[in-house]
Amino acid sequence: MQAHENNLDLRGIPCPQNAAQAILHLSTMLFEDELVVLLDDGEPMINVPESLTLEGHKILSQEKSQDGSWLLRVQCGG
Amino acid sequence: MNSSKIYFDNAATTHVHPQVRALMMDVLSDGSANPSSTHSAGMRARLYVEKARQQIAKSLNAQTSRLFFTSGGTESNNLAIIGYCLHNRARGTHLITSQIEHPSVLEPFRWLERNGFSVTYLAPNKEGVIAPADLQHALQKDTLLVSIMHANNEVGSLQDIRALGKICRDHHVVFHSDATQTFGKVPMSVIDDNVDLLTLSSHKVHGPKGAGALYIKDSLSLQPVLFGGGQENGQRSGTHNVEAIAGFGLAAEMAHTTPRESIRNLRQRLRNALFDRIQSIALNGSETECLDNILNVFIDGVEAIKVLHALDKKGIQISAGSACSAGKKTASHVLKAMGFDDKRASETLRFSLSAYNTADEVDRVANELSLIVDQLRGLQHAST
Repeated sequence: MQAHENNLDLRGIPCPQNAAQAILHLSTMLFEDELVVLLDDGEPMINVPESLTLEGHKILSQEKSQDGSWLLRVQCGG
Repeated sequence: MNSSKIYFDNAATTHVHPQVRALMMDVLSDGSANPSSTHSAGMRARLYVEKARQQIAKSLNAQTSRLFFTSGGTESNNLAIIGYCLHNRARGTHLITSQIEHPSVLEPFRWLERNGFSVTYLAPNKEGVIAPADLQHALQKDTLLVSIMHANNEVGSLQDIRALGKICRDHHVVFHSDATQTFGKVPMSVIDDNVDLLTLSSHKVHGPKGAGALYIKDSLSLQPVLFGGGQENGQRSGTHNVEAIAGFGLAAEMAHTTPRESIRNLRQRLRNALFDRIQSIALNGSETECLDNILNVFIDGVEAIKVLHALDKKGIQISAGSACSAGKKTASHVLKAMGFDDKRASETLRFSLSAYNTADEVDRVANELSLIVDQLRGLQHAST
């Protein structure tokens, strides 16, 4: 995992470790701050948005990259 | 007899810190689901695991994703040594370690010797220190792995792992260090210290038993030694010991913020008191290159096991050697490697302190020990 300010690269991190790391990262952020998460295609793109939403965070957008990975923009729910 | 117990065997294991115990109780209530489950209860458990990973990685200046949880130091050492060598044997079959390693390092090397590898066992000097020049001379073209412990668990001698690691890095040889005794006590950075594989343990830093970790540099691949559900990214299968891992994380964080000055002072106070009061006493280990919590001394003519029992009756717990070898009849392999004979090994005591010991305890131990030594020496004179 590489965390640089509000970017989090979770490619290669299996479920549910990826979602947990995103939640922990969001717990250090302020309400309504944005986090950009890079995710692998497949199971992570199902589980991580679900888990983040369940924790009270908002998925602003999800965009597929040319290499097949996903770019998820998340708004911190506080 | 003073009713309060004095525990000076912290190199064997430490008491679980009350805050760590409280967290573990919370986890047993709140995080009892399987952290590999993707439902919300599983996520609660997983958050404890990942928080601990972050806490420990931060203290090592390591990438979080390169820290793998295990059941403890022994498993981490086995995984590092056997896992790396089996996966990479096509690159070389010569290995280097030291004669004073913990058995959880020495035994994997002996197993590898029985399975086609050759091993050079470096000898320490009289103070238990491995000379970097000796490592340099031992390297061969086909050397695959070097494993040198950060500090010795019996005599506390501290190795210059930064220099040892640099030699390995310059020769493109992977370097493993068993930091079981130093993690949380000596500041470390896996990057600055040139370490590729690093063994960590929870129960030496006031965390629970049953949790440990192995740092694996991102460019390395290891053969797993436990197969199953593929936890820890396939590197270590087995359901996570969530409460122990959470406790380990908190204990690690607390250890790295605990001032060491008081422990250093306590060790020096104990050393001075023992050397002032007891005749024919000598230090095993280095005066300068040593852990600040271990004091290992030889008391001539007094059997350590008798002292240990006599102190125990006074409520004082120390060790006559390392805890792992205390039940064995063989003399310490560490003291032998340092050039000492069986007699000296059988007349050696280890005191290992923690931040929670006090100066009053040190004074009481020194006083009781000097009385016991006088008594035992008196009995010997009376019987001869």
